[in-house]
Amino acid sequence: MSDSPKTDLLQGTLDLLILKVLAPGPMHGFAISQRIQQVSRDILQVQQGSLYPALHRLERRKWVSAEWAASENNRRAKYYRLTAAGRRRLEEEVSNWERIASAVSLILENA
Amino acid sequence: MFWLDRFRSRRFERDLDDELKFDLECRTQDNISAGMTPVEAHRQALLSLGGLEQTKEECRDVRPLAWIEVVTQDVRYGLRMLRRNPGFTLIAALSLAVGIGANSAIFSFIDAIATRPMPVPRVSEIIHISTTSPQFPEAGVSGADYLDYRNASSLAGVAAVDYRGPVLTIGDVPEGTYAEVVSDNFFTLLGIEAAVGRTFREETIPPPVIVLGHRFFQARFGGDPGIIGRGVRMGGRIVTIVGVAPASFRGTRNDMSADLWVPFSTWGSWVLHERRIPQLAVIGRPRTGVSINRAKQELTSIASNLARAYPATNKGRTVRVESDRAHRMRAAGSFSLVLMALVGAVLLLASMNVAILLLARAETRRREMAVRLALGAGRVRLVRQLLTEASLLAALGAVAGIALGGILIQVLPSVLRLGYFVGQAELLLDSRVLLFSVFVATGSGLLFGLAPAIISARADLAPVLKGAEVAAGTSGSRVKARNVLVVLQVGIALVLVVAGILLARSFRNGLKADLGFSHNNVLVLEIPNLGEAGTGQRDLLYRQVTASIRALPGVHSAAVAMRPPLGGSGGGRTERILLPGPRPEPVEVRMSVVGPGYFSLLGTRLLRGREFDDHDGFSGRKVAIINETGARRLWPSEDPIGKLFQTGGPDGPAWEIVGVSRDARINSISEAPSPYLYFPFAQLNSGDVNLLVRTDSSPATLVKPVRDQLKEIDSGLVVYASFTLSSLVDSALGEFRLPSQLASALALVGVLLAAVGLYGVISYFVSARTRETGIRMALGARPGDVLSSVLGLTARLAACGIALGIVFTLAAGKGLSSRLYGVSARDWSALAAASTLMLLVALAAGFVPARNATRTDPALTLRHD
Repeated sequence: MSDSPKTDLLQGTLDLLILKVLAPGPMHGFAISQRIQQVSRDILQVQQGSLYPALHRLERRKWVSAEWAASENNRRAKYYRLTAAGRRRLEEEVSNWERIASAVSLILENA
Repeated sequence: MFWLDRFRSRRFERDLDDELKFDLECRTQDNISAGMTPVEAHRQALLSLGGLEQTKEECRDVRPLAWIEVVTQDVRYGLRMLRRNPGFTLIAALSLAVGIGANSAIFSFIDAIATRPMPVPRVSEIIHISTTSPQFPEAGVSGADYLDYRNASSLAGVAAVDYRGPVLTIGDVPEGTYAEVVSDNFFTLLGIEAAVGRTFREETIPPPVIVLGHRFFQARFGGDPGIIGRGVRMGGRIVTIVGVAPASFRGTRNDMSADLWVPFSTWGSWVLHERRIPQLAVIGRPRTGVSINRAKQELTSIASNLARAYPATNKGRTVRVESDRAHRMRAAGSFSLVLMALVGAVLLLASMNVAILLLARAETRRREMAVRLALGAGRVRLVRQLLTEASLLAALGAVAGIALGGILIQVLPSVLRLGYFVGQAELLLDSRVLLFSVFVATGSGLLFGLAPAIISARADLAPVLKGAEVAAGTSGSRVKARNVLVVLQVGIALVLVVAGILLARSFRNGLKADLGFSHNNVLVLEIPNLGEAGTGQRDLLYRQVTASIRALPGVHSAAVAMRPPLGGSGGGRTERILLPGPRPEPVEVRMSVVGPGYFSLLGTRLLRGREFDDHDGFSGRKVAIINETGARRLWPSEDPIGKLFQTGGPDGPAWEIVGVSRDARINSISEAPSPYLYFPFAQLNSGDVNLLVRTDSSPATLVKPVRDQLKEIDSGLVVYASFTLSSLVDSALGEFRLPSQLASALALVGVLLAAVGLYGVISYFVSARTRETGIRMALGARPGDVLSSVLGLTARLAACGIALGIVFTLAAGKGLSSRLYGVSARDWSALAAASTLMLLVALAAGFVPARNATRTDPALTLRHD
């Protein structure tokens, strides 16, 4: 279990990314991964094996809710939507991330 | 619930499949748009998904298990564990069954005689009104006081009840009954509707009526509703049956089942004008929205007004207002508390046994627990699993316990001759008892389940996983917990044994007690209507009766008395007497009315003076006999013979003391002697009449000849009941017999449970040390050394337990002392006997595992690992 800290960090970051991507409106899983990849200019590629467990976890924590609806190509797809709690969580995560990022960049610049 | 569960997880699986399939299709489509061939596009999409099954499994892990799934899993697992260890399960469940069964039975017993509420609507509003005064510490309410309490504005109604035994003549057959004489509003106040016919109405000129009890209606009239409106003879007049009470309502007392209810207007309302004797039971219901406390305040102020207005009768008399529950709890008395404590101790022992067994088993499951913890099971989940197992055991024990309780309820009344305490109370395995049992089982389940579960789940992973078994059973909190438990068990069992010994000794003392009369070969016949005859006739009638009975062959002597000794009627009436002097202060003295020959028949010696004879007639000089305690209290250091006293106030008749009798037991064997007066039968109307017949041989053979003779004298004479004086004494011994039997039985069960606990602990100790023992024996230790080391441990545990038990006993002694007779709660010989017994039992329990230890084969154990 020596690699668990790394997993935790990645997992936390993935949660943040998903919440952020969902902020404008509901999306299904595939669209979420496409969006992350697209916005990050192909730097971040989300493995499906991480995405779906993460979505289920967020759903369980009631940060996102899910419902089945017709997709753009008229197929049944599971859409995830940010809940009020999820929105608050997103704000916390963002400010958290910004604190850490600025702290890390301080060290990189000044140490 | 399982189907719901399956349905849920099936839907979850389908959704998961759909979601991932959709992703795969999108991805494939995307790849095709990027220019791949469909086959290549699908392959790439699958690759990017990174293992479909693994992803699914991770999603499943995230999904919370429905609680029902968890419980189902735990229960299945728990059942499997219980089945796998049948010996453990059997002992644990049996221990619990004994504990729970005993508690259910005792609870049903106490509930039946005392705590079960009256089956009336809104019983929580019912209040019981009674009075206390120095003369009558546990009294009801006098009739005149009751009429004054009726004026309380905070009460919606107040009803009075008097307990009587009228003779009912149905057709030509006279029959003794038990009746509640009640105020007209009795049924309406309680909210009881008649099952057949009607109840009482408040009428200006009420006709003579009665309402029958359901049982009596069934037994005497075969449940024929046609009897409504029929007349029966009661006390020389015709009364009409107007209704039958519902089967659920048996009257106001738990220990008696009323045969009929009679309104005061029918019975005679003289008692309602009597202010002196507080003999009525009074029940009230506050107005809607008025609290019991408010009602109490008003009644208290009425009582103090009465004390001011009628100081002669009401001075020092205060009113007591209780809820139905409080009233019944008080009736339950100290004996119930002692009983509950003893039987609760047995349950504690049983629970501890199960805890010890669970702890011992937890030891053998250490590896399992450690593996499960290492595999990621949460400790909470493990505790829950272990608690589920404990709950299953508790449920098993509860079912078996309730079954056992049901059997005990059937068997106990006859085995223990409960009649003395129970009367006609119904022992039921009803919802109250079931609820109590479930409560007890749940409590004990938590008690024995929680601690072992927590201790077990605290397992250290590393040493166990590394295979370290050496330390098992010799260190750690589990061992400490087990030792503490077994020490406590020995202590508690010791308390039970001491209680058993002390109560048994009290019983023996009761058997040997000098009652002040001799009860062998005395027949008692209750003939209430012998007293109903007119004053002059009465005198003649009893003379005729005693003379003709005396003449029967086999009869030694005969005498009449208001009540036989130990008759259980509360000691008879009291008479307020005035001693002549400058400022006469009335004294309340209990009394009986007896005929000539009473003292010689009973063998109660007269210390001075003479007993009544035929010259003490209706018109003769009024005379009385007093017992020695009374003589000492009323005329200290004076000769009581020839002394005068008055009854019925300053203008009442004067009586002269003509004899002083030895003290004789009146109500109970354990009572302290108190002043007692005897008046001649011819000079004072006694109401109740008992004919005492001393026979030359067994009294049973004379019942029929005596009855026949009575019928010949007057066919209207009803023999209510006939019994021997010895049976009264035997009943009175019930106050010692029952506690002694119950405590002995509970002590036996307690010792057995403690022995099982000790056996479990020592066996485990031995088996956990098999390897060590093997090494020691290989190094030359003899079997004797091994035996003595194991027995040494046993003895040490037992000694700690005994020391603790002695402390417990000394602390608990006070609670028991009210039940002891002729022996102190701190009786050292009882403590010594109980301690010796516990030590012997402990050594016996430890001997079997100790002997097994000596049979350890060194070669085998050393090769074991």
